[in-house]
Amino acid sequence: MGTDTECSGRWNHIRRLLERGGPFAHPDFEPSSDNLTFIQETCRILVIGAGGLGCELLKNLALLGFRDVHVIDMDTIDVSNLNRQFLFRPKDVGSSKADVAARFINTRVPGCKVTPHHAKIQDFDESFYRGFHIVVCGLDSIVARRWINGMLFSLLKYENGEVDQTSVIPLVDGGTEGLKGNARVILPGITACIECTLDLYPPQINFPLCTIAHTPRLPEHCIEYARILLWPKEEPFGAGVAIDGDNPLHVSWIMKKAEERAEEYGITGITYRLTQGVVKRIIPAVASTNAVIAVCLTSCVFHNSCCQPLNNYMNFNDIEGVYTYTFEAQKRVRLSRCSLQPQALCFCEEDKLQDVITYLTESTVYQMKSPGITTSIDGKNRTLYMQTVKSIEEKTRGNLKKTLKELGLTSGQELYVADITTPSSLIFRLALSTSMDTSAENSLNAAN
Amino acid sequence: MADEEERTPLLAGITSSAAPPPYSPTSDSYASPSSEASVPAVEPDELPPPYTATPQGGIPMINCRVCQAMINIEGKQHLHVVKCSVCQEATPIKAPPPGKKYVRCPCNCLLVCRSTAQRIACPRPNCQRVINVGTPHLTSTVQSPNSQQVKCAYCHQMFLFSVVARALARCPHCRKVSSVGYNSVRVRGIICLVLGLALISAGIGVTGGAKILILESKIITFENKSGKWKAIQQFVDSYPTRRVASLVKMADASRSTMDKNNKYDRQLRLWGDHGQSALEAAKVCLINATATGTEILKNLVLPGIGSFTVVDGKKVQAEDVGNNFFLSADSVGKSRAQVATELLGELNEDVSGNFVDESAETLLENNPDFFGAFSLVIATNLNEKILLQLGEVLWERNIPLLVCRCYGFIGYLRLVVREHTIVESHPDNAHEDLRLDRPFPTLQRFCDSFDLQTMSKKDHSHTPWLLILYKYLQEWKEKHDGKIPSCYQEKNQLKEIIRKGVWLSEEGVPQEEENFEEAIKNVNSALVPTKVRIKITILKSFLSLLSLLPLSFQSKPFWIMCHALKDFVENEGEGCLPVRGTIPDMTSDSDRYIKLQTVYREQAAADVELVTRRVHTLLQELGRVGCQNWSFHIHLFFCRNASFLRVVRCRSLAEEYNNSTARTEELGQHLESEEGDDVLFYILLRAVDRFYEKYSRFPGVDNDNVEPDIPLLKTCLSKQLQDWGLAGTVKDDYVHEMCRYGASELHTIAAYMGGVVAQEAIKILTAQFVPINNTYIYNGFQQMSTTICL
Repeated sequence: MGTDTECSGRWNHIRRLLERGGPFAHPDFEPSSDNLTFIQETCRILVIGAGGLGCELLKNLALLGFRDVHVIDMDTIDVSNLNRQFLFRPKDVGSSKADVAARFINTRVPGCKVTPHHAKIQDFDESFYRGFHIVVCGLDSIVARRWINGMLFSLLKYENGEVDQTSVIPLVDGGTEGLKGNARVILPGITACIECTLDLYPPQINFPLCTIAHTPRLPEHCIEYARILLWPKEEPFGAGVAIDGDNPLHVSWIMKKAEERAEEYGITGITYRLTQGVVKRIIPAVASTNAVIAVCLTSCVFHNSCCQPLNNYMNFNDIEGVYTYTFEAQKRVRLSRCSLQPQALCFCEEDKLQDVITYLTESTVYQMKSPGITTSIDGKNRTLYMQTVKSIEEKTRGNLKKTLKELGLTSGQELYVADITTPSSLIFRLALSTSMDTSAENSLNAAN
Repeated sequence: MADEEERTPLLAGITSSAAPPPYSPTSDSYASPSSEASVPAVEPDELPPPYTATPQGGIPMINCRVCQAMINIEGKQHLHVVKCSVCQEATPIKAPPPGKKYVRCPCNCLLVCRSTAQRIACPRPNCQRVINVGTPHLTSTVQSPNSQQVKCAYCHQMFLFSVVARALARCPHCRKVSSVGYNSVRVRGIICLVLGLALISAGIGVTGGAKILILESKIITFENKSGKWKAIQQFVDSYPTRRVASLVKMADASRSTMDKNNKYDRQLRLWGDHGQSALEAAKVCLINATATGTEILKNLVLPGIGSFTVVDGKKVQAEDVGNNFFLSADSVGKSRAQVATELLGELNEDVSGNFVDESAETLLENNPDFFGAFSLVIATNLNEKILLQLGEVLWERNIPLLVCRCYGFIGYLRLVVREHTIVESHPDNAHEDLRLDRPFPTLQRFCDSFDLQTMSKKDHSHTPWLLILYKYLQEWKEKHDGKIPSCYQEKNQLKEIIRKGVWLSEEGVPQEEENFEEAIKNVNSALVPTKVRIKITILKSFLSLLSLLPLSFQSKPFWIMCHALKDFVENEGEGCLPVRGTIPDMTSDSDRYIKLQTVYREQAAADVELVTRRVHTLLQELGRVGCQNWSFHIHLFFCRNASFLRVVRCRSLAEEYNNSTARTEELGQHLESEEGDDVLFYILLRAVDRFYEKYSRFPGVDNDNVEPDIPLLKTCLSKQLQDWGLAGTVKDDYVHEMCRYGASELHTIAAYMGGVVAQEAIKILTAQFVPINNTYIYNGFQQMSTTICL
C-alpha cells in the first residue's frame, strides 16, 4: 500500500533521531529525512540464523524500518525453541525456521519484506553475499562464523595495498550462553576479525578418552562412556543408526547404560536431563539474554547512521546485577586473514607432513578441522593430503608419514590450505630449517 | 457480626449473559476501621498444581506461599493444603473444596471460608483480625480476550471461561464440569438419544437372550439382567460429564508435562524445576503496554510466568504500531491493553493473560488494593506523580516494583523491594571449599592412609591432587611451626617441593604426571585460608547485619537459618562456615576420587546436622513449636550455599525523591567526573520530569520546539540541582541530547530494556541470581551501562 508511513506518523519515534542532529551523534551523521528513505528503500541486510537471536534480529530490524532483509537458516523448529524463539508456535514445529520467521514478520509489520532461505550459508556464492550492505549473524557454530568471515574477506578489494572502503561489508556477530552474551562489529580488513579473536571462544569441553574408559568420576563420564563406547559397539537401534538426542528412546538407552556404569563405580547424579544435555551438548538459553544481545547487534546496524558504532566487542552478564563491558579487540596482523602476506610456516626438513596437519588443527591461531594441503611443484598442482574426499584421502594417506624433504618441499614453497572453516584456501609460505629444534619456533608462532 | 454480610453473594447482581459491569469505585459501606485489614481472596487459579515436570525420580515440590521455602508434597497430593515445615504456615496445593475459598490473613494464617463470605475473622489468638475479602468488582474488571463470564450449574459461582475452544467448563470453585452454550447441550442431547436407543435395543436383546437361559437357571439370569442394567445406567449417567472430563484431563496432564519439560528445557538448566514452579506461580502486573512494556512481558510470557495483567487506559495510535511488535497495524483506535494482551497471549498457551482497560491513575485512585494481588508490578513510562503513588501503595504491601523507562537512546530501570533474600545466587566462579589449611579429622585420616613413596607407578600418577597437596603441606608445616605458606615466595617454594615429588624413571629422569601439575596449579587458590574467605563473605553479604536484626516470632525462615549459621560459625564451626561438601573434578582413579568425595559429603552432612540443631534451639527460644519436621534437604541446600547467601535491600522511591533523603552527595560526585558519565542521564531524566510537570509536554517532542526547549530544560535542570543543594552543573551537550530525543521510544532500546527488566523480574520471582541495587542506566548510543544505588 505504501500509505502506512505517510499518513499515520507510524515512524515518528525513529524520525526524531534520524532527522535531528545531536552532540553525541557520529561526526559524519547528517540529519535528514533521506536517512529513513535509505533504511526503507535502499539498505539490504542479511541475517544469518533464525533462532534465538535471529527472531529478535528480524523483529528489531523490521521495527527500525528496514524492509529488504534476507534470512538464511538450514534448521527446522523444535519444541525446545519455543521458550525464546517467539515467532514460532507449537503448530510450526518441524517447519523451516527461516520460512516461518519471514512469514510472521511480513504479516505483523506491513511493508517489511523478509526473504527466507532454507539453506546452508555454503550454498551461496560471492555474488549473493556482495549484494548486502551489512551481514548480521546469530549463529551457534564457530565453524560457520569463520566461514562467513572468510567469505566477506574474499570480497575485499585492495588499492595500493590499502583496503578499498567500498568493498567492506561489515559483519555484526553475537552469541549467548545462559545469562551471558557478547556482541561485536567486524569491519573486514580494518578491525579485528573472527580469526583474530578465536581464543575468546570458550573451548569445547571434551573429556579425555582414558577417563571415560577407565577412571570415570563424574556422571558425565558415565554418559560419555555409553555414548562414545557402548553405542557403536552394541548398536541398540540397528547397525549404523546414529544417536538422535531428541529421540527419548535413544536418550533413555544411554541413560540406562550410564546408570549401570555409575553404580559400578559408586557415582551418583545421573538424570535424564543431564544425559540429554551431555549427548546434545546443550547450552542453556533464555529469552532475556537473546533480547539484549540482539539489540546490541541491531544497534550496530542502525547506529552506524546516527550515533557512534560499537567499538568493537561487548560482553554482557546479568548473573549478579547487570554488567556490560566494551573493549576494542585487537587485530592480529600476523594472521593471513588480516594481512596480505602469506603466512610463514616454520618446520624442519625432517618433520613429517602429519606434523604440519597437527599444527594447523591444534594451534590456537588456526584451529582447523580437516585441512587439505595442495602445492605447486614445477608448475604442476599437487595434492599433498586431502581428508574430505575419500578416494583422494586413500591416495594421499601415505604422504603423511613422509618428511617434508622427501615430499620435495623447499623453503619458500607456497602451500594452499583448504578447510571447512574458510570458503577459500589460505596461502602459507614454508620456511624449512635443518635444525632439529623447531618446536620452539612453532610455539612462538602460535603465541603471536 | 460478620454473619450477615457473609450471606451476600460474591458476585451479586451479575447475570451469566451480561458483560461485566464497568469498574466502579468502591463506595464500600464496610470501610475499614483500624482493626480491619483488606486483602484480596486467594483465587483458585492463583495456585496451579505443583510443577510436576521432574523427569526421573524427582520429588514433587512446591514453594511455600509465605516464605518461598520448598515443601516436599510427596504422598500429600491428595490433600488440599500442606504445611510448610519452615514457617509452619499452610499453602494450598489444590483448589478449595466446593463452595469454599482460601483467604490469607495478613498474619499469614490461611483461612478456608465459604466462597460467598465477604468478611471473616482470623481465629489466631494473637491476631483476631477481621478481614475484608477482595471486593467483587475487582475480579470483574479483569478480562481475558475471548473469554466470557459463565455460571456454574452446580454451585452457582461465576467464573471466566474461554468460549472459543471448548464447550465444557470446569468450575474453579467446585471442580464440577458444566456445559457452556446451547450447542453443546444439543450435541449432548443427540448423544444421549442415540445411546438411549442403542441401549434399549441392547436391553431387548439381553432380555431375549436371558429368556433362553431361563431354562438353565432363573436366578443367574435375573442377576445378570439387573447387574447389566445397573452398569449401563451408571454409564449413561456419568458419560456426558465426569467421563469426558476425566479423559480430557488425563490427556492434558501427560501432554503438558512432556511439553513443558521440552519447551522449557534450556531454561530449566538455569533455574531448575523449583525456579520454574516459582515462575509459574507468579502473577505479574504491567502498567502501560508501551513498546518497553510489551517487550518485558514477552520475555516473561515465553519462559512461562503464571499470569499477567496489563493495565492501560490508552487507545492504540499509529506511532505505537511503529515501535511496538505486539500491536498490529490494524489495531489503531482499539484498547491498547486488550490488543497487547491478545498478541502476547499467543506466545505461550500455558500463561493466562488479562487486561484492565483503565489507567493506573484511575485504579490507584479508586482501588489501590487492586495492586495488592500481584507477585510483582512492572511500570513503564509512568509520570512522576503517579509513580510515587504507586510506589507507596506497593511499599506498604511489600510487593516488589520494577520501574522502567526508555527515552531516546537512554534506558532506565529502578528496582524497589524492601528486602529480597537469595539462597541460590549462582556465583560465576565460586571458590572451592576444600579446607586443606584446616583439615577435618576424617579428611586427615583418609589422607594419612596413603603413602606416596610406596605406591605403584600407576597409583602414583592417579592420586588426586588434593591428596598430593595435603601430603606436601604436612611436610611444609612440620618444617615451619605448623604454618601454611602465606606469601608468594613461600607458595613458590612449596610448588618446587611438589615438582620434585614426581615419579622418577629407573634412570632417575622425572616423568610428567598430570596430577602433580594440577597440584602445583592449585597451590595458590587452595591455600587461601578458609577463615579469610569467610571474613570476605561476611563483609560482602549480610552476616554482619545479623547483630542488628534480633529474631522475633515473625522472623522469616531465611533469617532464622542465618542466625543458626552464625551460631554455628561462632561455636562448632570454629570460625568457619559448614563444609560445602563438593570437590572439583581432578585426575584420579575412580575409587579414590569417589572416596574423597564421600569424605567431604559426610562432613557436610554432619555440619548440616549441627546447624539443624541450632535452628531448633532458636525456634524453641522463639516459642515456635512443631519444628521437628524441618527438612534435612532444606538445611543441606542452605548450608551448601552458605558462602553465597545474599540480601538486597532497596530504598523506597519516597526516600529517593525526597530532597532531604536523596543521595545527593553521590550524585554530586558524578557531576564532577570529567569523562562521559551515564549517571548524568538520570539527573537529566529528573529534569525532564520537572519540565513535564511545568509544561505538560516533554521537551523537543515537536520538531519546532527542539531549539527553544533547550534553555527551558536547562532551567529545570538547574532547579533540580539547586533542590539537591548541588553546586555543579551538567554539560549543555546532555541537555541538547535530551531535547533531540523528544521522548521518543526506540524499539531497540525498548527491546534491550525488555531483556534486562524481564531477567531482573525472573530473579525476584525465583529468588535466584542477584538483582541490581537499585538503579540501572543504559546508554544505547555507546552500548554502555552503569548501576547506582539511589
